[in-house]
Amino acid sequence: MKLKDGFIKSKLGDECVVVPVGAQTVDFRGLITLNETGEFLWEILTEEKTEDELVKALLAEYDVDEETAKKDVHAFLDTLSEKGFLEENE
Amino acid sequence: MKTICVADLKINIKSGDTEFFNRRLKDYAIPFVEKPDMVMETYLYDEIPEPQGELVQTIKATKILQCENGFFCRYIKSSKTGVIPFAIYFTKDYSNVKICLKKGYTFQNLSTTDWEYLYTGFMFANRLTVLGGTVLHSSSISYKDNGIVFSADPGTGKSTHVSLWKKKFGDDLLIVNDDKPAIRFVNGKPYIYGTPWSGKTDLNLNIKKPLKAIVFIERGETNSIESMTITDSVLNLSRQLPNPFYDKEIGIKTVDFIKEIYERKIPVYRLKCTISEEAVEVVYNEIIK
Repeated sequence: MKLKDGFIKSKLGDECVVVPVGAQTVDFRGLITLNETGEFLWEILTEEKTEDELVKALLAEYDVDEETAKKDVHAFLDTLSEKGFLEENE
Repeated sequence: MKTICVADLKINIKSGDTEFFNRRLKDYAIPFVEKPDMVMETYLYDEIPEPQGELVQTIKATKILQCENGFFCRYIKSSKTGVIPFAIYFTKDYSNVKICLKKGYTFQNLSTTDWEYLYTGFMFANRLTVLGGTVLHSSSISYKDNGIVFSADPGTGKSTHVSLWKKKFGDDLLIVNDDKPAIRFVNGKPYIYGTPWSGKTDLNLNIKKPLKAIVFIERGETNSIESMTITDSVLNLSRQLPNPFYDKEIGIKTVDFIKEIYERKIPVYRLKCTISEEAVEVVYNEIIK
């Protein structure tokens, strides 16, 4: 999976927000905010990755146990998928 | 073809409905220039010729083609009747725009003139966005050189609120533009500009005033004003600034502009208000006094 084209991440002070541009505004007119790990995962998802690869990347970057990393990555992907941000391969 | 100057942009413009646009544009007219910042022409057709070019994208019913001479074309063709109600040709930087409208085209209770008004406004907004400015859907005022823009979704009461300012302050209060003022940074300072695209009313002035604050209006039971969080500011601004579905580059520039608003510390407020003079006083006391 990877992020669809047309979502722009922008950092304003401590806040990191993502807004849709172009054709993505047809279905989504809101925004999402990213915390530090969300921002980290977002950058990685600009290229094709599996859920396992994201978990491994999180474990390598942050002092977090595997169970928490798996749970956080899964929840993050759920949110992105629900909002239609992901290109998901079958 | 005549030349107008809007928000310091020189535009050579040819209108379809000359009567309407002569009225709206007259205060912006300047002597003809050979090298404008934008050329915008509107043509009315009995039948719009089918645009030719390479299909770039289809978004819902809209097709976007890459045509000859650096032009793109955005158009719709009815699958039932084959009628093309509009086709808009534009260069990537919107420096050259040709709007083709079917004569007598009406849709969603809007006349051909309304569509010409809307499309010319959108194309101007896109051009200004490319050049680093923007157009904010808002009613805007200036009181003793304090410019304030009041933004909200249609029907919330922007114009009604501004009319209360006019009633209270009379000649000291200038309505810069009642629907689509331009905003530009000049030497790092923000300014609002009147534009001819002032919505249903002719309330617009060809003036430039320092921008003091951006206020998003919500209807409330009482009157209160508060600073918006960064997240709410971005959400509200991104909904009221240019972000057309057919051009993500404009959306990206708009995100840059929002960032500039934040970095240059332009205050963004949420006003909950009733239709009352007290609502005006609440804003005045917070922003101007």
